[in-house]
Amino acid sequence: MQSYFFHLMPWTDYPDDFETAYESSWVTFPNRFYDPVKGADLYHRYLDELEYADTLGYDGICVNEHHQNAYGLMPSPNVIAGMLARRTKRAKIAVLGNGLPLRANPLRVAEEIAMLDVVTRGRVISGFVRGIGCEYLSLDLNPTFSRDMFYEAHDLIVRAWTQPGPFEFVGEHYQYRYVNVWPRPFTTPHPPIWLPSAGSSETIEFAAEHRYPYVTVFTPRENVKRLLDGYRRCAREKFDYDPDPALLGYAPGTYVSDDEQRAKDEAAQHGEFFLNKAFKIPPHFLIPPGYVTEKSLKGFLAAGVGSRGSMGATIAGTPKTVLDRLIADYDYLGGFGYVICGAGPGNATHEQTVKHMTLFQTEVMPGLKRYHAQKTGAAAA
Amino acid sequence: MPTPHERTVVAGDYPIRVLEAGEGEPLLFLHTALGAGLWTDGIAKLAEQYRVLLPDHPGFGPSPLPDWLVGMDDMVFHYCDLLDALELSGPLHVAGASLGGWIAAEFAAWQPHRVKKLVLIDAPGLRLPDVPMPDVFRMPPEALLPLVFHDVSKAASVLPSEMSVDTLVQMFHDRTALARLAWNPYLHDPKLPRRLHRVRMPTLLVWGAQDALVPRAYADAYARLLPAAEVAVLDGCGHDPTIEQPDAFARAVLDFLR
Repeated sequence: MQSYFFHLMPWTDYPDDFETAYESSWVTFPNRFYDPVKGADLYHRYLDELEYADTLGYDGICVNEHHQNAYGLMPSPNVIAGMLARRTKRAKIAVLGNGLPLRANPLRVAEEIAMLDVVTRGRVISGFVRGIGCEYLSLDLNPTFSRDMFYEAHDLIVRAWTQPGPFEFVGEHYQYRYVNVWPRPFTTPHPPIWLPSAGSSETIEFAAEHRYPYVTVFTPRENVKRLLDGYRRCAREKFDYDPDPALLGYAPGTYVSDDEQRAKDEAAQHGEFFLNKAFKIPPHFLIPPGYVTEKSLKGFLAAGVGSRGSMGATIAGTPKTVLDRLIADYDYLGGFGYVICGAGPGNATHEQTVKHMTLFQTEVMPGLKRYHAQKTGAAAA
Repeated sequence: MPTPHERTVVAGDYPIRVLEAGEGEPLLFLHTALGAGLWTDGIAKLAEQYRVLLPDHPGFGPSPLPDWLVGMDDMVFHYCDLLDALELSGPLHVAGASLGGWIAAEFAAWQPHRVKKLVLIDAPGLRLPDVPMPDVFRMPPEALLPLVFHDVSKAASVLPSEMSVDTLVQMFHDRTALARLAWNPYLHDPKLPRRLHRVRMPTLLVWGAQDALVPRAYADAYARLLPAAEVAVLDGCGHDPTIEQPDAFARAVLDFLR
C-alpha cells in the first residue's frame, strides 16, 4: 500500500462577484485576476509542501497539467517536476499526467520524462492523460482528434523509450523519420506509465490491456467501485489476468485534522470553494463536441458529470475517522494498492495543509498499510 | 406539396441517406449543421418546381463520422462521388444553407464546371476579423437559439419536443462532425478567398437580415469575392430563411434560378 500526495497548485483569490459574473474559473476567467507577486509566494509555498511530503515519507508526490485556469497553476507539469527533482530524495515524482494530444510534438514528452527519470535515477512516474475538455478550448485544439492522437502519441513515446533509435514512425497524426531520443530513460524498460482518468470505458480497457495503474479523481465511491470492477473484469475477460492491487488506486477527497468537528467544518468550507470557484465548469466546457465517444457521453449524462453529486464527498475527521472510512472503502471497493491524498482546493491555509498531510501520512497510512498487508498477506512496507 | 422519399446512395464506398422530392431540373441542397434530414418549408417550396436532393453530410444525422473526413477537401471529393453515384454528371443547381453553404462554396471553387447556378444561404467560410462569429463550441446548446432565430417561436417547428438522452447524443454527434470541420480554423477556410474567383456561375447570396450567427457582412464579403453574385436580404429573418421566411426565401431563389 503506497501513499501519494497530490498538489493542484490552485489560485486562491477570486473577485467577490465571481460566482455571478463569471461562467467558469477556466478558459475565459480573465488573467488580470492573477497577481504574479502573490503567485510567486504561492509557487514557493506549494513547492515547500510537496518537498515536505517527501520528508514525511509519502511514497510519491503528484503534479498535473491544466491550462488557462485558476484551478491549478501548472500548465507544464514537467517544469514543476524538474524543480522537485533535486530537492526531493526518496519520493517518486508522479506527473499525472502529461496531456499528450496537447503537445504539438509529443516526442518532447518522451525527452522531458527521460530527462527527469535520469536525473532522479528512476524516481519518475509518467502519467498520460488527454486533458479535460476545457483544455481543447483553451489551446484551440480540435477535440474530435483527441482520442486518436492520445493513442498514437502513447505508442510513439513507448517506442521511443524502448526501441533502439534511430527509427521511423509514421502515424496518422505524427510522422518522424528519425526517432532517436537522447537521453534514454534510466528505468528499464521505461518509467512506469499511469492512466489517471475521468472514467471513460475506453480508457479502462486501454489501461487494463497495458496493465497500467488506473485511478479516477473526484468520483463518488459508487462510481469508483464500478470503474475498478470494470478494470478487473476487463483484465480477466479480455486479457486473461487478475490485476495486482498495485494497479488500482483510490483518490477520495480527504481532510484530516486533530479535532473531529473542526476537520468537518474546514473540509466543508474547502468543498464549497472547490465547487463554487475552482471547479466551476459548465458542461459545454467540460465536454466539447467530439471529446468523448457517444457511448461514454451516455454514461456521463447518466452519472450527471459536472454536477455537485457527481464529485464525491470528502472524507473528513480525525485520523481514526479517516482510517476507519478508508478501511471500509477498501473492503467496499475490493481493495486498492495506493491512495492519493490531496492538498486541498485553494482556500486551505499552509498550516491546515501541513497538519492534514502530516496526520494523513503518520497516523492514517500506517493503519491502512497494516490492513492491506493482512488482506493480501504481503509484508507491511 | 410533394413529400420526400428516402433512399441510401453509396458514394464511393460510403453509404449516405438522400431525401428527394419534386420534378424538373435537379437541385442539390446542402443542409445546415443541425439540419440533416430536415425537410424544411423553404426546401419543400423549391421542390414544387425542381427535383430537390437533400443528402446528409457524412458524419451528420444517422451517418457515422468517417475517419477520412478531416477537412473541406474531403467533403468536396465526397460530393463528387455522390453526384457520380446519382449519375448527375452535367452541371446542376447547388444551394447550401449555413455549413451547407460553406460546403457549396468550396465545391463550386473546386468543381465550377459541375455547378450551373449557386445559392449560398447565411454561409460561413470566410473570416471577417471585425465581425467575429460567436463561438458556437463555447456555449450551451440553448444559447444557440437566439443566435439562429430572429423569432425564437419559429424554432418550435424544428426542435425535438423533449431533450431526451437520445436527442442530446444526436446533437452531440452532429456538433462533433461540425467541430471536425470547423473547430480550428474556426468556421472558415483561409484558402477559400483566393479560390473564389473561379466561381464564375451566377450566384445568389440569400441572407437573414437579423442573422446573429453569420451576420449580413459575410454576404457582402462573399459578394466582393465572387465574380457574378447578387445579394437578397430577407427581413424578419435569422440564420435559416428556409425555416423562418420560407415564402420569401423560395420566391428569391426561384426567381434567381428561372
